[in-house]
Amino acid sequence: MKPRAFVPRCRLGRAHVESDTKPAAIAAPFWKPARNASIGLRTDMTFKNHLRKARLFQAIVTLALAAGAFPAFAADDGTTNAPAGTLADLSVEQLMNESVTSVARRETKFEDSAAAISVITQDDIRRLGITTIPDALRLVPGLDVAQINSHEWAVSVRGFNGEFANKLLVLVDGRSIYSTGFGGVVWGMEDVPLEDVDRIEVIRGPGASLWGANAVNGVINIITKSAKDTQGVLISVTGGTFDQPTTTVRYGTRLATNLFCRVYAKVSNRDGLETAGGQAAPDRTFTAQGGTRLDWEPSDEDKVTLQGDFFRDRFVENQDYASLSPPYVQSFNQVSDDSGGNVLGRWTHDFSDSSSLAIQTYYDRFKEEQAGASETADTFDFDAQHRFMLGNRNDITWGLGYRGVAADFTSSPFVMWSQTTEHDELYSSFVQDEISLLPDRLKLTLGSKFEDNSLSGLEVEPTVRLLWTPTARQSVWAAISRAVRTPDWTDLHADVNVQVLPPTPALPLPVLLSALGNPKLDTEELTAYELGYRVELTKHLSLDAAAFYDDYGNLIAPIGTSTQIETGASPPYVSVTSPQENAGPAHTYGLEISARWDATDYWHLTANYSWLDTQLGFYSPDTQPGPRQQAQLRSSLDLPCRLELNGDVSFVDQVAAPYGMGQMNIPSYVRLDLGLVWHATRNLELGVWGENLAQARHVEYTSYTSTLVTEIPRGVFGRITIRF
Amino acid sequence: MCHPAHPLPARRRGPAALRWLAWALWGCCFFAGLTPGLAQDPVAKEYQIKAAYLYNFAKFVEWPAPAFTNNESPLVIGVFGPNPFGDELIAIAKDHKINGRSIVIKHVATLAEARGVHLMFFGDTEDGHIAGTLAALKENGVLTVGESEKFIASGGMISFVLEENRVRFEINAAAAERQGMKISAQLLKLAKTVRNEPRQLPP
Repeated sequence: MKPRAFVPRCRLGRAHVESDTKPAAIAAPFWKPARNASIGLRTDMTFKNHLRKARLFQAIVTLALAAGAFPAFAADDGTTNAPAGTLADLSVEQLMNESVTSVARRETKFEDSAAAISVITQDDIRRLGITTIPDALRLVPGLDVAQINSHEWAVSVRGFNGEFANKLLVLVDGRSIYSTGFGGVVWGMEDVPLEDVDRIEVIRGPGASLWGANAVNGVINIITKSAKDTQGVLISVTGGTFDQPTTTVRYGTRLATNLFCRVYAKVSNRDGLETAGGQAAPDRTFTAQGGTRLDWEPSDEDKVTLQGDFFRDRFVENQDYASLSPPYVQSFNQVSDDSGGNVLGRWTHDFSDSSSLAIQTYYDRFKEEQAGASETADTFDFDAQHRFMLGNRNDITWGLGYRGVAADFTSSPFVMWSQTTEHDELYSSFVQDEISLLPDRLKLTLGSKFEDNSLSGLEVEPTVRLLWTPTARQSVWAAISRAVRTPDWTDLHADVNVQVLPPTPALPLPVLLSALGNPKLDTEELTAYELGYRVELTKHLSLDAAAFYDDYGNLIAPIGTSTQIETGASPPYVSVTSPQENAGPAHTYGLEISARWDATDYWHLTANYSWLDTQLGFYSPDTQPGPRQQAQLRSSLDLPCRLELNGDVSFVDQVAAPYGMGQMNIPSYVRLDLGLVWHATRNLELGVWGENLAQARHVEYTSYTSTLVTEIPRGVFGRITIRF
Repeated sequence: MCHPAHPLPARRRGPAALRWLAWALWGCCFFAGLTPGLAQDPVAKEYQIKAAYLYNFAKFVEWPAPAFTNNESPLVIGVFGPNPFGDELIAIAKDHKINGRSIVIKHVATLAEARGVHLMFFGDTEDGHIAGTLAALKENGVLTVGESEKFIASGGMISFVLEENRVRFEINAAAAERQGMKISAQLLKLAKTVRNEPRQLPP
């Protein structure tokens, strides 16, 4: 739900009703905002889009045929290993992450990719005592991560952040956690035990050709460890000013040769944020999550995984309901309950060294409450991918997928759905050809995803990427890609009552400001031009840079208003409505740099810097540019006596965030986190961390459903981890 | 969504620039095909990684003083039995030193040849006689590294383990310490498991 209104700002006084219960009855009835005259079909725009798509597709196919079908003359067989002796320059940690498979097989090292990829490892997560997934994402340059309260976060890549940032695809072990109903990721619902996360892979930029629509600005894949790697007992207890406490218990065992399983349970209590005056903020979250994972290798060529989780959470947050009677707003502490579960199965089969098949299917059900409204959704997804070599130069991957979503929505005084049942079917296919033009030197990737979506019809998302490796220690890559974002159910069907302006002597009627859904919206489009450079300056210093220019079209935002006087209603009021529209274009461009320096065998430093500029072709208080600059320096130092001293200092530039009817300026801030970890014995690890040490408290973002702004204060927490 | 009333126009050719690009790429491929292939390194990636590990193990282990004649004497890495490393170890030895000492690679076929070796690698094919060979080497102050499943149980000190397509390692620290060798805590921390007593093989 996105409260929108295009009115000059003013502040209302309000009565603060402190109660933790769901409101028994709201004084005013539900009002239906007056729907305006037709928005108008953009028929010629749609037609031009189809023509552009057809031409682009044609061009791609021509290129593919020209480059790919040509037989190779060279005598090599396309496999590549590092030149003799060079692996000795890697540290032991790096050797532990080296894959034994060569290029011709399934895995490619991410340094060989023509994309801006970052990997957050389990070691990064452990050293900094990270307790939530969004906190882990702060380590990636170009990611805009802002905490709203103990349950909500605003996370986006390369701009357009918000509580329901919608241009990012987030997966947990291949299962999408992006909600097409509300249009965003509810981070509070995914309480994966971070000890079981093997790594988080973040691709910045359009990943649409492999991952499909909504992977507009990035793909985040949270990959958990195989059951084989989580054997034995793990007990972890975290407590402090934010976590009060959080306990994780996990048990892994070997059931038979090549059959491993684990079971876990995690209970979290998050609290501790403050208001501007230093008072405790009313928000808090309680989450219980449990699950299991089974990994089976029936043969050398097959791997089967079965996993499932279920969760319940309850969170309290401040909520404002607009009201047509004085005092025109009701503010209270809303209690919301979420619950859900999922089951996922995956099978990978290696036909040979250069050919493999992967099939995955999952079922996901969740019920999510927000601002008194709710969404109950059932998702069924099926995906198959086949990878093989065609000749010596073409590494081809293609796949088919189906996803069905059935969802029901209930309304509240804050948001009303003009349609309360959603049935959505998505058929998709993709193909990608990685062509070794010059083995080990030049690689061209052509790919495209094709989707047929019941909401928006056929979408084609092609990409062309080139990777040039002039020397063993440098690579340059460039890419042009197209991605789309299909409108979410919220964009199409949600009518949000944002605020009521009280009567004035000039206008003696209350004014209701609302944002309306628009079922005739077109998809948003992006054409992205990217350039990247990776270099190993010395054995111990490496640099990774990516620059981009994003050309957006048809961005969805409410920009116009229309006014109507509802004389028939009791009490009569003025209705000002602002429908969602394909508001217009935008351009963003920016740069992300990451550098790693292994100062000694015991001391490693990583520095990130990102710069972003946004030019909007329209104005909407809801669409705000992201922070212009962000920077981070983190250090991990291994000390004698099995101690570690880890820390990071970050700078985030100021942003404007939606607030009430307009926007609020959030000043820039500096975060300082420091932690000390002691590996007391082989089985016991103790850690203590201080968070946000630089300031007493700071704001990162605002909430859409309340004008109460929560701030993140200085905090300290400790963790005990026992393994045996 | 409504469809427009006017029909699609007759098939048009793609923009000229893209066609030119397509032919240029075709040309690239043709000429690329004529270039000589890169020198092929036939050593499997797995053994490139293991060779790099052997170098790193030597960096993180302290041998007792009698193991070296003087400060200049080289560190000898031995491969017992067939050599799976190809030229990897020799390439590493050429470019690197350990604590100021140069590295010498020695291929060993019999126990007699094992004298003076500081780190000995045993390939998977030597499984049958491992226990006996390791017992014989016990007095020599040799860091033994292997890759077979029963290597540590047979008395070995470090064993490679393949996990999810990645090479990891297990350490039997006690066995190394009994020979006067000290393994750095850094390395112990990264080991998959650290055993302090060798498992007893059933008789």
